[in-house]
Amino acid sequence: MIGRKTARSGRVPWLLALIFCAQWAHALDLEEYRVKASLVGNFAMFTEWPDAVGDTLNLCVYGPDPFGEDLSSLKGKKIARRSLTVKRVSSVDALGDCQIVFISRAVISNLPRVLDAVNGRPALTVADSPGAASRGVALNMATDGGKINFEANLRAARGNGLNLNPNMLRLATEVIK
Amino acid sequence: MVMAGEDGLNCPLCPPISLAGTDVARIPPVLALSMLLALPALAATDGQDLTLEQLLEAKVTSASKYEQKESEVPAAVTVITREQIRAYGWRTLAAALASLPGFYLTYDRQYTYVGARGFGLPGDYNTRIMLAINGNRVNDTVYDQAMLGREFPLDMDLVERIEVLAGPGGAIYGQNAMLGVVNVITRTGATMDGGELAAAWQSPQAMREGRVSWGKVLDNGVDVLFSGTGMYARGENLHVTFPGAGPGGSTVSGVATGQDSDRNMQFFAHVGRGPWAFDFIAADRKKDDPYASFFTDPLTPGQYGQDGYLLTQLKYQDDFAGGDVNVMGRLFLGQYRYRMNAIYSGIPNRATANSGWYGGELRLLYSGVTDHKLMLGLEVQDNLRNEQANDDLSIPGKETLVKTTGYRVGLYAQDEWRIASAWSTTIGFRVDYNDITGSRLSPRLGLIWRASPATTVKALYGQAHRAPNSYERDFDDGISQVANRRLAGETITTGELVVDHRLADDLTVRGQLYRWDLRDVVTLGIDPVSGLSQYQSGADVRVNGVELSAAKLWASGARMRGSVAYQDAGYVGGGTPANSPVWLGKFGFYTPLPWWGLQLGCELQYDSRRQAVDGTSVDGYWLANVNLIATRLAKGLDVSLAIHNLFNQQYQHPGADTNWQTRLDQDGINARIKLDYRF
Repeated sequence: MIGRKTARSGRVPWLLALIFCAQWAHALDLEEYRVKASLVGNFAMFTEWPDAVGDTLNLCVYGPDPFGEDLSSLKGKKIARRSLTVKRVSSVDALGDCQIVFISRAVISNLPRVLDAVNGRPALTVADSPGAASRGVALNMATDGGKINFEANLRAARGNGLNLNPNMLRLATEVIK
Repeated sequence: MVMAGEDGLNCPLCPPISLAGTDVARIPPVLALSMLLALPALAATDGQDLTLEQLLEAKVTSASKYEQKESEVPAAVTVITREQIRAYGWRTLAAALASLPGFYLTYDRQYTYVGARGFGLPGDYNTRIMLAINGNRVNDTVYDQAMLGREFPLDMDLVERIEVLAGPGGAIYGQNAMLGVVNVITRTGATMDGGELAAAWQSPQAMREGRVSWGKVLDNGVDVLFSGTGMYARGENLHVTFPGAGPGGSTVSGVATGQDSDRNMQFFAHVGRGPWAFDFIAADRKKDDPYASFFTDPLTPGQYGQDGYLLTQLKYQDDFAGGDVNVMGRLFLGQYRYRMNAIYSGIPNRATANSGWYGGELRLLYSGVTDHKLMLGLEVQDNLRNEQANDDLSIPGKETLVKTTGYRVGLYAQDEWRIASAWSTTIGFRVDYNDITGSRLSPRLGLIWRASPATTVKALYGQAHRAPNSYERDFDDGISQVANRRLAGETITTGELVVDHRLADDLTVRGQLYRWDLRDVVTLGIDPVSGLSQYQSGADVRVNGVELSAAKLWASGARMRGSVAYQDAGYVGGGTPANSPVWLGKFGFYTPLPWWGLQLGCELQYDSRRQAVDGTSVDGYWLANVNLIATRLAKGLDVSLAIHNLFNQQYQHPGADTNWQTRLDQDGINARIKLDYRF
């Protein structure tokens, strides 16, 4: 963790910092779900929410929560005029007031039921299961080569009255239109 | 089939191995510099304020201690997911297993038998495959039978995933884990989250099936799931030949009318809260026998076999000491009963068996020592009831009752040691002690080399033992079989090399090279004293084989996988075992279609010729299956059409020594329509 200390102190010359590049790179290693939590926050930011959506964006984690404390930093986050809240739900019956629905991998086999519940409402579906985008999830994350990437199903998002920002779609590995 | 390179899986069957990122990022210099400039912000916020681009460039590690990739498991493990079961329309566990390299099926219209890597002797009751539901053993204590066809006591719609370990798992699982371990993970209230109704109809078997299920996580956090299934199939009126069944050893043949019916009732309940889970399974299946096995009267209705199960398990699993310690404890209780109604010379004969067992297991995982994962476990099982009875109504007072009891204790330990960033090893053993074969040691050794980020090489060695079961050792009715109290156990020793390679992000290939040595194989033979059938310690068998498989996925959600297996099985003293195909080919593809939420799944399988028990050859065959699912016809409704044996291939499987026939006709083309409704 030399790299991290070095960075915090900010007093070490650049050259030395470069020498420690390898260790520093290691310090850059972030926990998978910390990055995924930040990505979910970004997804919400790059989504054009209809005016009908009120001042709160409820982010609901459906199924066992893989994020743990990593989502708490998203609480109260401002997205334009709206603020983000985080809820954990174990039933699709509780998805009625969710604008962002993260479907945890443990319950991804129940995706058809989730899509039944949010269909036609301004809800952004997010997952991290292989093939989920093609099965109707708007944004699906994957890990490849130790990095997170995502694919987008623009058709699914638009079906729920949401548009996804082209700047975000540009970074997606695949966009289903 | 999830192959190497896909996402990590939580695999209780796989012993734990660290996923902790040992790869230091290989960052191009330009990128490294730009990241360096962003470093102060990064370090201060742990990533929360990074831009989208920066997040996508960040190197990540997985924190889950017991989640691992298949490529890093010290065994040849494959996971079959619920999505695949649904996409291909598999109605039995056996159909799902038959899609994997090296596995092949034999069906005698009573049970479905799964052969592995060229080893599947006719007349064996799947005794060398350990079958478990949520880790709870299904194999009974009289026949040791793994029920893999329609007789499997759980509805396939309730399966979340199937974990398959090819090769011996004796070092962890003990009895039965010789050719493979199949662990079926059920759905839970959380993954069902509501009610489900299913109805299916299949022609020409006139099969009707219905299921009602309900599952939920209640407000108090209790996870519940209840499900009931009923199935009845009239079956086909088959034209059957019975060589030697007529007067003077002549052949009898004709249409077995109404003698292929199949009836099944299944109930499943799951209740869980936090680390606790309770499973309850009850099932009863009755299958008519058009082949009149055990040389009963040909073309005579009312002959059947019936299997009943009661399986329960209370399981506790939780992490302690910040995740360094994982404790799993379980208590189980199982019952199995068998009823056979046979007719000999017009007189009914009733064979029954009752098996009862209970026990417990305690397993500790410890990852507090750097670079090591330690596992220690103890499993105890009391076989409190092994009863086999035969009531021959032709001879008043001629009744057979064989009653035994027994027990088994297994102690196992394993260490997974990450020697260096690219090398890890697994050393494990299990010591089993039972009332029949005394104590046996089953060692296991694995060496894993991560040659590159795309390539993993594993060298595996393992050994497993099986004690003869009560049917093989104790059954004695004086007219068809005599006991063999000196029957010894059997052993398998295997060496295997597995190479997993990722050709592209979405294309993986696997090569497997193996040698299996089976010694003292328990085989049905003839007792020289009485001239009757008797299970004896038979010949040794050696199998050398190669398996090549590939899997590809597309972003559209389409998936393809295929494999070719060559397996050369032979008796050490010369000769080929019966029912051992040399070549097996598997191909599967499924894809969403652009219209109405349609999904199409196709399978093509090739089994080369097998030898029948009389030394003649049973032809090889190609089988094609298709499944089409419509998911958007109405809200909550899925409709599927599954066609099995699309090209109506007429093919046969070898019969056993207990059959009139040396070859058994298999089903031609059949179609099933199924409706699944979620509410």
